[in-house]
Amino acid sequence: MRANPEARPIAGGSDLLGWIKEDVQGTGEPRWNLLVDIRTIPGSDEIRFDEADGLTLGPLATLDAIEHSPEVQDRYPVLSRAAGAAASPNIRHVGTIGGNINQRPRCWYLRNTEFDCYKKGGNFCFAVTGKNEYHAILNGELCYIVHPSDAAPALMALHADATIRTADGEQTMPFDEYFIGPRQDVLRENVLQQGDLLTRIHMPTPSPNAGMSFIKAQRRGETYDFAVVNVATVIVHEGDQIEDASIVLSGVAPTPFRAVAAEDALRGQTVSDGLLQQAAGAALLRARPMTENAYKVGISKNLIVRSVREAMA
Amino acid sequence: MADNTRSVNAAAGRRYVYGELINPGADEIAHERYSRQRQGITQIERVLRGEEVPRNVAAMRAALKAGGAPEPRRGPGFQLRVEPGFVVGHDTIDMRARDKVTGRAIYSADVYPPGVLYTKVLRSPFPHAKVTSIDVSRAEAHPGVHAVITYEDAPRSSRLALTGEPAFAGDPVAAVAAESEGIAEEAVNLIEVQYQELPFVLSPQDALRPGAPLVRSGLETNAARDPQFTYERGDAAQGFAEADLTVEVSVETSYEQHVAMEPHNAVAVWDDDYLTLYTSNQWPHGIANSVSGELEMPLSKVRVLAGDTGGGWGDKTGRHGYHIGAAGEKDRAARALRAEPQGHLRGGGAQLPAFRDGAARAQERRQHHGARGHLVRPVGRLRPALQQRRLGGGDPDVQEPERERERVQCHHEHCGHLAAAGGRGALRELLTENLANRAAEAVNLDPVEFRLRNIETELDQVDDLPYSSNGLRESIEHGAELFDWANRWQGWQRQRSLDGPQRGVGMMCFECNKGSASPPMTAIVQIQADDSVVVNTGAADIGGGQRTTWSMIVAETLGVPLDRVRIEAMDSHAGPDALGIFGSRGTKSVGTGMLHAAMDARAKLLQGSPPRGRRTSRTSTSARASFTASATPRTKSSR
Amino acid sequence: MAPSSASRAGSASPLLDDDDGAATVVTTDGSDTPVGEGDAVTGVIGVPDNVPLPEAVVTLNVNGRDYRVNVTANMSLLEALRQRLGLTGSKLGCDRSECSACTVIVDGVAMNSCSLLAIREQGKQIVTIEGLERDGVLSPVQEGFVQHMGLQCGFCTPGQIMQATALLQQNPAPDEAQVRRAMSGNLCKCSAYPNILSAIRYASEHWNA
Repeated sequence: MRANPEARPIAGGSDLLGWIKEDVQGTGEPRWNLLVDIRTIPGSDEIRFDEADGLTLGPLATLDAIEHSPEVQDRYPVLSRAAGAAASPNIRHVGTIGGNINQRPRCWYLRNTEFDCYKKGGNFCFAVTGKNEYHAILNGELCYIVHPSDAAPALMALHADATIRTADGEQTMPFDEYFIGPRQDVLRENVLQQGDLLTRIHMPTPSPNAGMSFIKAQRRGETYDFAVVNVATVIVHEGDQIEDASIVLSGVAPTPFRAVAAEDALRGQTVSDGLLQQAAGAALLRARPMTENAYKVGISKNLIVRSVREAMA
Repeated sequence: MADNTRSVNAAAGRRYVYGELINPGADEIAHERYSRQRQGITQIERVLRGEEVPRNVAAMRAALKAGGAPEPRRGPGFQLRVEPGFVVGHDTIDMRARDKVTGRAIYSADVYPPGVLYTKVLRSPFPHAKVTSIDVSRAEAHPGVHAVITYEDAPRSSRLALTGEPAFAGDPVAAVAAESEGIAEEAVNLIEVQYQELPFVLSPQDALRPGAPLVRSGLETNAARDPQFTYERGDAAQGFAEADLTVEVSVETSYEQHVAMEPHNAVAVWDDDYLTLYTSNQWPHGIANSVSGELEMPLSKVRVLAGDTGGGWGDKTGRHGYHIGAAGEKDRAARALRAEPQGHLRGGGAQLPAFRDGAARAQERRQHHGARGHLVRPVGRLRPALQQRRLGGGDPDVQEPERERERVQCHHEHCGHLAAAGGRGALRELLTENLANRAAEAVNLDPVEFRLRNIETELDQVDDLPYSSNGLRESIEHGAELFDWANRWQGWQRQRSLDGPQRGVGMMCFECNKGSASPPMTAIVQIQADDSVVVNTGAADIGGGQRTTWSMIVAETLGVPLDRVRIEAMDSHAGPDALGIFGSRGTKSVGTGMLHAAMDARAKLLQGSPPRGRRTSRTSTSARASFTASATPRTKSSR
Repeated sequence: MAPSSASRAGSASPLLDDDDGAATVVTTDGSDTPVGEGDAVTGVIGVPDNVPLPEAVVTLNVNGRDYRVNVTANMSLLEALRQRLGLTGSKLGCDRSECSACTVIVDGVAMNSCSLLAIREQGKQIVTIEGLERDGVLSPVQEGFVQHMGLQCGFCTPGQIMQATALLQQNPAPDEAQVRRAMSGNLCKCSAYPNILSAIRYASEHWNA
């Protein structure tokens, strides 16, 4: 794949085949003419839990398998719920965790062949002056996509690591560094370069005092939909006393957004309505809504409050 | 329900059997005559004499009056009996269900003639542009490509199918027919086009502004007054002059799409100079008319048909570019073409492209309704002057404004029909009900009370026809009672939270068109030698159980078991034009035609009149009868 | 028949494992016959030799029978079923995994056949709507859809039925929440949803009958 710039790995193919059918192309997106099936790699779909080591996921484990894994359901409910919240049953049957976190954004300008936007190598973001109801309220620069994944915020909330294979060999990094924003490289949403592969996802065993929550706000309730906002929350607590908080939102920024300000506001505190409001407000302090998406600010705040409550229940 | 109706009929001293009016009085006869005239019988005579056919209701009414026809009377000319009968009123299994659950049902999308070719279309990326050069040589040389046509090759009358002056982003400019969809798509990418971009306008409001870019060159204006939906009544200016206050409302609805499950498609099969067009549609005759006109072929050589249709929602009523594309002129002798599916379902993801349209993927209604509704209130009583039928004002001296609907073009896709509440109905109700509420608020009146004071229950104000029934007052009163309106309504700006934050109460009415009996309502009922029945109609079955319903009507009327009735539909050559299946007219309109045809056949059988095409058997005779409510030739220019 | 194509048919991804990255070009005369009991394959379209579209002959097991099918590299399983095998019961709605009208059961799991590459589905047991009826007797799910009118236009119906069948195969007695969740990806523009729920309840009650 490294030798052929028009080669692309394919696993479940749910996102990639739609992308190819739409014929989206640009500087950063050649017309893929060779698909390399990576499902044949042995062990790439493993789901392995070890009390000492934590949870290891092959990137090709399907969302359905992760959702229904007893260990994941028992020890990482936020991940099970997030995997089960993504897409539709049929897509979860073939869609992989790696594909879910690496899928391309759903921005309608990006996915329309007629708009030569930054992400396709152009020099304009059409959402700025156009229809931006679903675009970013945080950290948008040049490009205002939102990260579409449901699983990614859960992985980040669980402090998972990504292991990738590059031309230089294997390297491991936290998912906080795995996703990159438009300032770093507007053509990509993560660190993977052409020919690189995500090979392993790993996360530590959660504290026995950890409570977890995943909440997804979407336009349609009973069928599947991408998140308007979702939030994955892990709270380590003793009763009302918060020891540690990990809160990650998606649907609001070009990458999954760790609400550091909210985490800081909660850490070491006793939970109260006032504290939650203050934390949620802090998280969205830097929100810069566009013309049509200010509603996401309120939703995000409410979801943070609700998810902390839920995690501590 | 049934008992009530029976008792009502009994009290009125009338008996109805199978929809026939028994012992009709002079009033009923007069009304029937009026209806038939209005439905086109006399228009046929006019056409035969070479006279112009009046096209709108007002003109028809004027003509009627001039000819001394009786004034319309209220009351129906016929009525279906409503108590459970021989077939009607009993549950039955949908006749198409078994084929649909096994995958055997064939939709036009499932038609793959041997050696079928596939078409793909090159579309303009610009909302308004002029093609300055087009080079198809590379596309034509691409292996597997059988034909490339551009707007220059399109039939002259069909420049809307392929155009050199695209008027929306997605307007087709050229089309390719090839061995496979993939090859066709590759070839489309090999066509080289130079465009000169032109100014464009995207909203009806902007399109009406002075100096707005014209949608196509050669137009004088983007707006067209639609006579069908324009009427004037009373003296609006006087009404406004007398008013105490005026409220105004303007509303907009958002972009709408049909998203029928079965994508748009057409498969054209040529047999010498005879074209068979399989296409998922709601009106085979309508599409046949358009296609034959644009290809300059006689209707006898254009057959439009479909098997089952995977939903329509209005969008499969008329001729689309892909119909012409599939039957492209260059390929008359070529193999069948298959149009690309259009109207992709976009309902699943949250981020629906608002601008994205490949033609017929989305429909923007071009109608722009002149929103000129106002309410006025002289001291002492309400003097409403709404332009809507239902809220029209009961007082005889009420002044009403003209109602006007403008069709405005802008640089969006061609607008088609749009089903039910998503279409102009929604816009109309939004306007009317907002007006009513704002007016009620302005005069500080309970909105329910406001409506009860202003509803029209006697006379249809567009057609000047009396309602046979209206039920609006009863509906409002019943709804208010169910809702406990009297207790819940706290007055304007004094809504109390009922069970949680931010909940108020409000009211509106919605008028749902359940299908008027509108012409043409035609069918041929053939009683076979063994007493089974074949019904021919050109009407479509778009999945609403039409064939089952029609079978029930015919079986009931003729007294034959349901499974001995066969409806041959969805085929412009298999039956007479019964207009499209839209506006919820399948049962009431087409079904009424079948009812009459079946009654006619029954009568002929009972009267022993010599049936045409008589065949004999030991047990029965056969008869063929047809009822034609209207056979008005349709001029092609009207679409 | 090109021998090379036949020999490649057994490998998992005959077009995708080339080291040099060049797609294999396989031409056929289009005269494929099924491997099974002489069942005719309908709708096989011969592609001229001068068409540079990579083709391969693959073996698909559909409704319990093996078929040798020549497919292009970019052909979806749905296209192969409809265009090559003439099994048009599975419907193409959105072609983007959004409507699930194309749902088939692959190795016991419901999947969107529009978003599977035919070439990767070799060696799997594929069941389509055509494979449910047995000797003229409808399956419980099919019968439920008929009895409860779980359809109008019927275009989404094959997908709905395959989805419900896959659900009941795994869980013959789902509660309503489980049914709703399993069916959540199958769209019906006619909004027959309440009747679909009734139909599946009927099928659940008659599952072993």
